[in-house]
Formats: sequence, structure tokens, C-alpha cells
Amino acid sequence: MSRQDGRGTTPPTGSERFYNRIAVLRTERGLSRQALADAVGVNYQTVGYLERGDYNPSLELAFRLSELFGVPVEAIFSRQPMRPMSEELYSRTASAGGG
Amino acid sequence: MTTGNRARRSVVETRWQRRIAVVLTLAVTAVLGSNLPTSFHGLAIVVVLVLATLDILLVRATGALAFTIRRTLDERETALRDRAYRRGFRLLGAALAVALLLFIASAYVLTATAGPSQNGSTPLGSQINQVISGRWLVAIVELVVMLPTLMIAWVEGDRPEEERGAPQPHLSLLWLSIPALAGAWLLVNALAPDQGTAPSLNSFDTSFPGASCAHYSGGRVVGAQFGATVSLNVEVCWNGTDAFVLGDPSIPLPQSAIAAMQLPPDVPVDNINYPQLDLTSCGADTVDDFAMVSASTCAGTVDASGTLHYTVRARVSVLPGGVDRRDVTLSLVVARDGRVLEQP
Amino acid sequence: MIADPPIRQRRLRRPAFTATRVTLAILVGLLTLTILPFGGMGAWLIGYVFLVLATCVALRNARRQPGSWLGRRVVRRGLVGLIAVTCVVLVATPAPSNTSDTGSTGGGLLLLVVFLVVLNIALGGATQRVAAAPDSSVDERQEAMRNRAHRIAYVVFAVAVGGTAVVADVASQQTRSWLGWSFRGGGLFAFLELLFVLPAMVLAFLEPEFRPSDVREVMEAPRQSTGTRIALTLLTLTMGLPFLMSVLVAVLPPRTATTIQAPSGPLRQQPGAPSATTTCREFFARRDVGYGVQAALQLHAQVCWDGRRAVEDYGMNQSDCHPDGTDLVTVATTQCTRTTDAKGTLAFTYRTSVSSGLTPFFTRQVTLQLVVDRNGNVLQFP
Repeated sequence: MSRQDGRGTTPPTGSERFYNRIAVLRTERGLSRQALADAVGVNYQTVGYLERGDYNPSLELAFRLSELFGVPVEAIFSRQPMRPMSEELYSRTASAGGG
Repeated sequence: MTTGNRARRSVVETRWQRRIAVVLTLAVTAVLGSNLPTSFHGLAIVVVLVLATLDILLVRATGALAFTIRRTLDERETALRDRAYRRGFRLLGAALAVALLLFIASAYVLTATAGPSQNGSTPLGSQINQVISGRWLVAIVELVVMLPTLMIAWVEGDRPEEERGAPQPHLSLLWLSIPALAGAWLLVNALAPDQGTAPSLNSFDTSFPGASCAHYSGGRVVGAQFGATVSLNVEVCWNGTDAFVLGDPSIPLPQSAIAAMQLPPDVPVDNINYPQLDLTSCGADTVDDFAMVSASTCAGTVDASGTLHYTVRARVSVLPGGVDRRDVTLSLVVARDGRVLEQP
Repeated sequence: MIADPPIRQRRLRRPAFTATRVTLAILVGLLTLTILPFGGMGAWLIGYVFLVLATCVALRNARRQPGSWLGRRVVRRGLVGLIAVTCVVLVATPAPSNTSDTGSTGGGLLLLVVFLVVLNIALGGATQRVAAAPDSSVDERQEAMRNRAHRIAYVVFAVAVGGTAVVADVASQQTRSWLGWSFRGGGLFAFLELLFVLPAMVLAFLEPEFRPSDVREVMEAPRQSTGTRIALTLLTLTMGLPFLMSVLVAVLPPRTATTIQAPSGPLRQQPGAPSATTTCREFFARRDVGYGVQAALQLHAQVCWDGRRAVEDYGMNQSDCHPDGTDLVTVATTQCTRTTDAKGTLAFTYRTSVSSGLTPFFTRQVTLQLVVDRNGNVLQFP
């Protein structure tokens, strides 16, 4: 379970660590951290904490990000290290085509 | 969810029950922190135990969330706890300010309703400086320790029916604190050495024909603020021939003082030595919230050399019947030239 | 530290009643009540108060740029340390015994309070005033951080302040006396300071070092704006001025004014005074030491001579050896003597040691001397 206590410099323990694609999704859409912060209603410093995994968002914030990027929550956050999105998409496409 | 062996439900389960408990706790705290009543006459410990009972009920009702520092709290509990502390901190200053205002307002009410004593003397507030009295100390500690729990109890919603009465074996041990508190109070009163009060803050400008006067006030603290404080409050004048007490008709004035008044022969001496409680009072400033003070006597004699010996005696006991009584004596000796030879 | 965001970003909206504003209101009110009785303090202190207010306004409005010294963790922790030390000094500072006590006690207390106010403003700037922000002005991360800081501050306050008060009240008569004495002096200010500012102190201490990458893209202005430079300058001036003026007590040459005139009033005809054929003169000297933090010493005496000896008419006694006015300094009389030698020469010496309450190690010896021979020749004045 995660703790919403704002501790940033020390990454959460292994059992609490969440990985995310926020930086990638933001860059793909040409959004600055400022713009992303405005869009989801947080302080722009919080965006940095989220991207580094130093802060785990609430369910509400996670869904706001999901709606903004147009991808499911599980495509943004994961308990396991995430593969590049292009690799995931390409491997799915290849599987679908080969089936 | 408990099955089969249902635990007994607490008295405060629903939100409204908790809120009533919160209001009761604040009301009892307000009584302790004010000047009303002026004294509990040894029964303050009962009030404290009632307060402790309310505290335990609230702590159990909130699952001792405010005091939990374990890392196993989930995010909801962590947020609720931290939010309660934030609100509690912001309210702490307001609570202390309200408590101070209550203390001052009740003092004014007391003074206004006490009325003048005989011959127009009005008793002032306590003239011995205890800094923070025992009952006020309890009120402050109660606020500081319990405010976050009170916030949680007030804010948290009703738990679902099936979750009520969940067993809390570790919190049942809290009930042991009631006898522990009572035992600690008895121990403190039995073992704590007597102490003096802080130096008095009051000063008076009293004049008497042919004499200089000074006010002496002090006290002996028995039981370290959780017992009683026996007070000495006396106005002493001296004219080079005698030192004497002013404002207590039970202690006669010496001839040298009467002669200095140059009274007409038909004027009785009692007219000039009337009670002035703001100058000299026997036991008026005694604080007996947590222990009973009895057999208070104040006596003053002027010896052949004109030296005044003023003595206050009292008996302090915490248990009914005076089984554990402790005799307290305060002495003030002033020479005829105003030198203090002995003071409490 | 975080730069001020562009206009389009939601700014932290400051509520009407924040802990800082309440602190300021209480402290300014207490300061005013403290200053008013000290009528002789001089215009400089009123000017200093305005300087402090201007510094506070400048600090609040200063843009906080990335790399700003104010937001660095070591600076924030230093601020917290300074506030803690100031609170300890305040607890040890007694209240002025009366309104004429403008020496080390009253002046020191006043300046400590002003120093604390400036530190509070700086702390608020360093933490973006998150500690006092309402729920509507912070996001979930900041709210969690703020609430956590309040929880820690609550425990620290309860133990450090409440625990100390309880133990002091119960332990002994001496500790009880200290508690009462402390609350009538600087201890009250320290109590109020911790009551209102402790959460911000905890936040400033615990908040991680800012990441330049978090704020790089919002950098729109030069590293230090004009507003920040002005704020820093004012802050340096506010903090340094009292110490500078204290040093001036020992460094600035004293300013002296003297007057010698015919007696302005009747002779007091002291026993042994010369006859009506003698000549008398009234001597007046004033020596001012320091500026702002200053002392004024004066010698006002009347001397008569008749060719055989010079005698004092008035103004050369022990009771005449006292300063005319002191502003935040302590004046200690080291010599106050009047002598007449065999030749009939009268000599009066008033020597003092002047030191500032803030810098007691900088002292200055100031002497006023009047020597008149039997023929009325003034050999030394002042």
C-alpha cells in the first residue's frame, strides 16, 4: 500500500514503488510540466515528483491523468518496470497480425 | 467482521454519540480551566477521573488513531490522522486563548458576585502566585493531548453496522489508567515534599499613622500542585516600637498603634481595626482543589521586644476522615523596625 | 527553490487570516504597546520599524527564482536554526522592569522580536507559505506534506513547550518562579512564535532539496529579479543595522555641546559657600555617544570662587552622576568624585562606561570633567 506523505528525496520501498510513463506521455503530446500541472490541477513541482516516482498519486489524480492522456490507468502506472510503449504496441500488433 | 463471538459494543459508537462525548469532554475541561467553582474541596480528582473516562471512551471509539505511529496505517487513516493534527494545531492556540479568557471572565464574575465584606472591604483575587494551578494544568494537558482525538471523533463518519463492536483487546488496557491515575495522585500527595509558591506579584500602598506597612503573601504547596496550597496573606505595619497585623480584628493592635491614631475617648478600637480581607485574610487564598484543608488558624502575637510572630496552621488531607493528614505551618516574624526575621 | 509561476498557473491564494498574518498582527500590536511607553527612544526606532515593514513587504513580493538562496535546503534549515536560537534567547530575556529601562533589557527584547518577525517572513517565502495555506490552495501532495508537518509540529510543541511548562510548574519553587518570570518576558513571544510558526519550521526542515529540473522550464526571468535584489538588500539592512549602530557607540566620536553663563537662578548658599562678593558661573555640558543606539551624559553645575577657593554651589554630588538619556545602551558610572586641592582648585570628574545591549563587548569610556581654580579660570571643561 502506498503512503501519501509527500516524501520525495528517498524513493519508496520496493513494495511501494510505482513506475510510470508520465514523462513519456507528456513529451509525446508536447506538454510542458506547467501545462500538465494546470490540466490536472496540481502544483508543477508535484509533476516532477510524480514522474520520478517520488510521490504516488491518489486514485482521483490517477484517473485525471488517464482521462487527459486518453489511455487506461494501467498504461500509465505499474508496479513493474515498464517497457517502452512503442515496444508494447509493436509486439501486440505483431501478435495480432500473426494470429 | 466478527462472527459468532460478538464483542461488546462501546458506549460511543455512532458519530452523534462521539460528538456528545466530545462536548462533554470540552465542558469538563472548561470547568477545570475556569474559576468556577472556586474550589472543589478535595474532589477535583473525581472530576479528573471522569475526564479520563471520557478520554478513554473517545480513544477507543477512534481506535487510538491519533496516537498510532505504526507504519501499517493505510492511506485513509494516515490522511485522517494528519488532517486531525493539522486542525488540532490550528485550534490549539484558539483553545488556549479561550481557556485564558474563561479563566479571567470567571474571576470577574466571582469578584462581582462576592460583594463587599463588612465595612466595604472587597476580597480580591488570589494573591499567592501559583503560576499555573493544578486544575488549570490538567485542563492544559487535556487539551494538548486530546485535541487531535477530539477532532477525529468529531469528523469521522459512522462505521457500518457490521464493523461496530470490533474487538480492541489492546485498547481495553487503557481502563487500567483510571486506577493508575488515582494511585499516582495518592503517591504524589504522600511523597512529594512541601514547596513554596513563586514570589508574590502583588504590592499594596497601605498607610497607617506613624507606621510603615508592607504586605506579605506566600504559600506552602502540598502535593506538587495536585494537593493543596496553604496560604499566608497578611499586612504588617511597624512603628519602631511594635510590629503588628493590620486588617484582622482577631489580632488586637498594640497600644503604640492605638495611641498613634489619636482617637477620641468615646470611639471604640474595633472601629479602626475592622476586617480588611484584601490586606489580611486567614485561609482566603488557600487552594484546596485536590485535597481538603481543615483546621486553618491564623494567630499573631507581639512579644515584649515588639516583634510580631504571625503563624498560619492548617491540616491537609486527601482521604476522607483525615487518615493521611499532614500538618502545615507557615511563620512570619517581623521586628519592630520592619526587618523580616523569618518568612515562609 | 520554486520560481514564481507564470500568470496562467494557479497561484497559492493567500487566505485572509493566516497564521503568519495573525502572528504579525499580534507581534506588531505588542511591539507598539512596548514602544509607546518608551517616549525617549527617538525617531530612529520608529524609522527602523518602518524599515522592517518595508522588508517584510519586499520579501513577500519577491520573485523566488530557481537557485534562489532562500529556497535551498541548507538555507531553510539555517533559518529554522536561527528561529530556534532566537526563541531560546527570548526565553532567557526578562521583561523590562519599567518604562525607563531602555537599556540592554528593553532594547534587546525589542530587537529580538523584530528579528524574529523578519525571520518568519523569510521562512514563509522559503516554504511558499504552504504551512498556512488552506485546503483549496494546495494540491494533494502539498496537503499531505503540510498535514504531516503539522502532526510533527504538534508533537514537538506538546513535548517541548507543554512538557517544559508542566515540569517547571510542578518541580520546585525555583522552576515555578522561572516559569512565571519567563512568561512575563520574552518567553511569551517565544511561545507565540512556536504556536504559530512551528509547522512552517518543520516543513522547511523536512522538505527535500528542490530539483532544478522541476522548475527549469518556468524560468522566464533573469536569475535574480530586481524585486529579489531589493528584498535581499532590505533584509541585510534590517538584520545588520542594529548591530552596526551598536558598534557605532564605540566607534563614532562623541558630540559635545557646552555652555558657560552667568547663574540663571538664585545661589543655593551652601554651608561654607563664599560670600556675596564672590563670582559664580553656571556650567552646562552635554556629550552624546552613538547614534540611534546612544547615550546622553550631562554635567550641569554651578561653581563660585572668591580668589581663595572655588566651591560647588550645586551639581557635583553623587546624585548628579546619571545619564540624561539612554537608548538601548547601558551606562555604568565608574567614577563620580569632587575634590578641592590645597590651592583651592575645585575638580569634578564624572566617568562612565557605555555599552550597547546587543554588543556588550564594545564599550566606550566617556568622561565629563570640570576643573576651576580659585580665580575662576576654567582649567578643564568638559
